[in-house]
Amino acid sequence: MILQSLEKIKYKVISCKKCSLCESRTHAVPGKGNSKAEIVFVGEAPGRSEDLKGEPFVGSAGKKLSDLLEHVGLSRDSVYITNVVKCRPPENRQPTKQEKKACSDYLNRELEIINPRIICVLGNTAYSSLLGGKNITKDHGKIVRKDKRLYFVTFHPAAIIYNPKLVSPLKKDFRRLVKVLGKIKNGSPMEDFL
Amino acid sequence: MVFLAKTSTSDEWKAVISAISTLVEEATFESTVEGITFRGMDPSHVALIDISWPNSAFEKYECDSDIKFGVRIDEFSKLIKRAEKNDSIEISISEDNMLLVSVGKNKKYKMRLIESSASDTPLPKITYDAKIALVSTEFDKILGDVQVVSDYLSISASSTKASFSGRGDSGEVLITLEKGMEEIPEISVKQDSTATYSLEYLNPIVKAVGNTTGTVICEYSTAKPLRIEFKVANIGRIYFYLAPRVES
Repeated sequence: MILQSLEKIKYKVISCKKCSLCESRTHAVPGKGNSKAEIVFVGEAPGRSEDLKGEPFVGSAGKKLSDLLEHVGLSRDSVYITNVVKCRPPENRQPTKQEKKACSDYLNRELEIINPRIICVLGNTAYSSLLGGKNITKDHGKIVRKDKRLYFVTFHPAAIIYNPKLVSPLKKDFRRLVKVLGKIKNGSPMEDFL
Repeated sequence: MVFLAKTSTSDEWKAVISAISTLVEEATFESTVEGITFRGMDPSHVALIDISWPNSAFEKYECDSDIKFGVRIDEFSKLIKRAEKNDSIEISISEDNMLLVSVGKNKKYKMRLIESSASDTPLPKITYDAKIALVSTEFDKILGDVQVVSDYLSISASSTKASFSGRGDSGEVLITLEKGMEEIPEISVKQDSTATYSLEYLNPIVKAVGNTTGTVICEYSTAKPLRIEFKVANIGRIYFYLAPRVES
């Protein structure tokens, strides 16, 4: 499957029948945002509101994400937002390995096309899928370089709905994310000279 | 396996740790018969540190095979900061793979090691056209002067002078050091060179290591990485590489 543009990926996602989630979804939810974004945010999977609207992060977690972006001076239009799994798992359960695998081509191509400076991994599911990590509570704020891509790990914005104590660390992580982005833009990569 | 490295004061480890902490959160040291080395890039791959700490710089050094040991820099830093200036620091590795750190006469720490994730980092292959030796306190002052108006330092060097400049929204600054001035013990230039580097990287490393060294040597070429050499007493040398800023 060769997907050359985000539009083509979007078309493929909304008509995707690669796993059984297509049977329970209202809408598939392709990624959305700036095709030249410097930051791509990757969450777990769509929730109820996203499933109804067919857009990522438009429910209460989406509101939290917008607030966090605003907190660090970023607009939603300037970034790209997507999920590991593009269809809502019933009852908001965690996506299975098979569901994540079925969707992995879409996310990989989104990242290849956008080629962001940094990928912000939101929550344990995305952390585990993209980086094999397990403990977001311990590892949040961490920067990971893998396969020539740079990742920043933090909590899923939904986490602060259930645990308001995470507001402060999540805000701090977002400030750090923007700082890291600034640093990356301050120099060309050393690889150009190795 | 025998591994033991002892320094007569804590200053050496403090300098090494503060240099490394400007770039990474986890560090993997390599110990061989020749001494201890560290090489690592910051996660964004804009800067690189290469430390070579020869066995002769230690009060006592024993190592009979090549070993790697990884530490979390914040944990190691907290531990080393507990040492007084004149406390010796002796490190070794226990049979259960913990880092043993003896501080002064009677403090013995046992610290968990982290899994070494370091891959071999190559050094930039650069032919340097300009070499400027600067009194480190002067270099620190220049960085502070430029920071007032800019986040970036531009360096221009010719055979007779070195210019340090910065430009920002609030204004600009130019600092010129002519050959022969005491602040600039050496300048040798094969080709006039100009390049721009981020103060966000330069300031922390110069603050971290600059005060342990009398002179820093800056080498660079137009639009190529800068290499700063810090010669630190009882450590050997610390090279700091910084990729140039590319105008977007």
